[in-house]
Amino acid sequence: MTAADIIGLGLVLPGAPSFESFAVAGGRVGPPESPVVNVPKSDFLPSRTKRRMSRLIQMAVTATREARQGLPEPESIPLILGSADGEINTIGRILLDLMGEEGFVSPNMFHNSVHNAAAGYWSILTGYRHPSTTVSAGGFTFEYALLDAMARLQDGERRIQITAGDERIEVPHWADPPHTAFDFCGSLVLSADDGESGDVPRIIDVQFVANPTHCDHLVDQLTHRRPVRVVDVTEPHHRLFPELDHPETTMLCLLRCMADAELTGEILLINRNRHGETFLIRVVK
Amino acid sequence: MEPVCIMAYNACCALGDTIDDVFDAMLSGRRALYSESRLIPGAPCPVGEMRDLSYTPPPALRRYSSRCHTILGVCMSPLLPAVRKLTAVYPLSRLGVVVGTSAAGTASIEAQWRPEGRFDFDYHHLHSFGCVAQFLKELTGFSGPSYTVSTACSSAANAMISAVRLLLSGICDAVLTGGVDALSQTTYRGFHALQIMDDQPCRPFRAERKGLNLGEGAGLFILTKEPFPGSDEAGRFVLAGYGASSDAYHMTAPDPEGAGAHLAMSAALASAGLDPEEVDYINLHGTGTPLNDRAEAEAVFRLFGASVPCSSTKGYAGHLLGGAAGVEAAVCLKVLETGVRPANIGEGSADPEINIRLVESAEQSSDIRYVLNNSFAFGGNNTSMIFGVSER
Repeated sequence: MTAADIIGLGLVLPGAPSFESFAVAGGRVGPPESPVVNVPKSDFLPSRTKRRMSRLIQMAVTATREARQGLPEPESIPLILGSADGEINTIGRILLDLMGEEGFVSPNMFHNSVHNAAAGYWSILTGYRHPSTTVSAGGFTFEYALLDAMARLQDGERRIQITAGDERIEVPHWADPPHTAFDFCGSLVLSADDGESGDVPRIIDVQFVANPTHCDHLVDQLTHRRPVRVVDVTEPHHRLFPELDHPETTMLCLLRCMADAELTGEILLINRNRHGETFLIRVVK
Repeated sequence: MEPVCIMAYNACCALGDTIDDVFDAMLSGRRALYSESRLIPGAPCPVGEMRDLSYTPPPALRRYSSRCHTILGVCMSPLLPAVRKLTAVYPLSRLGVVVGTSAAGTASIEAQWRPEGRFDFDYHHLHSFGCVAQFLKELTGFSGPSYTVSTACSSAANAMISAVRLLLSGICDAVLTGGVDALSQTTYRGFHALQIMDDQPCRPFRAERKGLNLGEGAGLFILTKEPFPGSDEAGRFVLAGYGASSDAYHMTAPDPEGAGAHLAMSAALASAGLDPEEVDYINLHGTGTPLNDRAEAEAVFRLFGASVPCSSTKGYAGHLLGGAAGVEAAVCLKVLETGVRPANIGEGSADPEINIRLVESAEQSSDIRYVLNNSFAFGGNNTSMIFGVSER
């Protein structure tokens, strides 16, 4: 697989409104006072525009913008949005209205309910006409967005951005999936490794492994007598908030590694699902 | 791009459970837009609902019991022999699934809604977007990468584009891809609230058009990087190119100049290495809304002129949302196979603002080599795919 340089980073998290502030804190943020984010209004996100958006949309456009800041020709970078549950709160509110006495659906809420709403708003806010797609795969959502991005780089794309996140699920009567206990959205801009990005972190491999035995063998191979920092995101002590679940935990762990100035060398991120499938992401910093 | 082979495909919608039934119905001018809806009681606008929908999943997959999964099951049934051939040749870990949906299991949530409080609802198997791909993965036994793509009405096309990338990058040897959506109260009432539905059978590109009709269905494809030995008729065809863009205009209304649509079609031509005059048929997005059809026609006219035959097939069974590009891509393959272009059905007179050449009745041609399919979506997400006859 072609390696990818990480040339842009963005983040919105309770207690960290940007990746910049997260990095200043060395990727160490205490348990959040509130699990939800209040993205401040700005010239980019005026109050009137912000009011029309879900928190996921607000977080996604903010993180996407931060990660592109300072990059040449930002209008040409395709976007892959990843979200396990997307506009689940919006859909829940629509159902409450629709199945309740009102029997009415708000047009604004309806068009905001599509999974790619954040990508649409991003394009409208910036005037950028680059391609975008939206991926969903439960607890592997970030991993599949990354695999999709790496496949595109391998196939000739020069740069690509992944923005992945979910907002805390909060609609009453809703099915309440057990994950997504807090708001989080992160973003990475990747560039095909052509030696022009300078001294930047690199993703050197992304592997999906269906067979647990094969996976154990691979992990042994990758770590045996090699100075590799292993971050198994299924282990609570590797998480930023050990008690709180989030479907894009791997991305948060990756961003935490990027924010920790003391952490250098090779990092192996491991995430497993309940079917015994595993993603292995190798990063060099 | 290097063309990707189509090993097998199928599509289903209100016109029938197989692509042959669907295409035959189109050529005979049959429409399946019902004014009396069983799914949306009292609906004032016609819907293309799949009546007598019947599918019995394998016992291990009964927890995937949403209408969306049922439609997928119906669509998959004729493809299972091809799945068995694949699994006999390739390692299961090299076989992937990328499927598109806009609404996933919304219809099932509505059916099980309990207004008085929490209800016993298996979110992970019935509504999470990821469960649509997971169902196909478990049904086929494929153990390679599997994920769902959801970009509203272009979901199936974006899923197919991702599938192409997995093949061309060498991550997979074959990918099951396409898209699906089931009718639901939520989508029906939502489109109604946007006031873009026609209370008559829809009339894409006609002067009298008032909006779309909703439908449901699925289109699925098995794509391979290399030609699969012993493929049936489908093996003659390839996905030759694709393009995508964003409108940067409005969440629901298209850019009136069709700039985003033009970009997507231009990128698809470049990807396939074709000039506009080499395209022999365009299956239009053609929802029947005044704004979409005018913008799309403008973009097509600017790129292709007024000679390439075009039709929207949404007048037969409605707009299938996340399944639309899947079914319409399958129709494109039937056009390549039979040499017959389906008519742009819908009553009304010509719109003087629309200058493209619409196919007014099904027409036979002796030489159709490349066809293009457009799919556009909320959020200004535009996709175009080009299918062709294999040169190998």
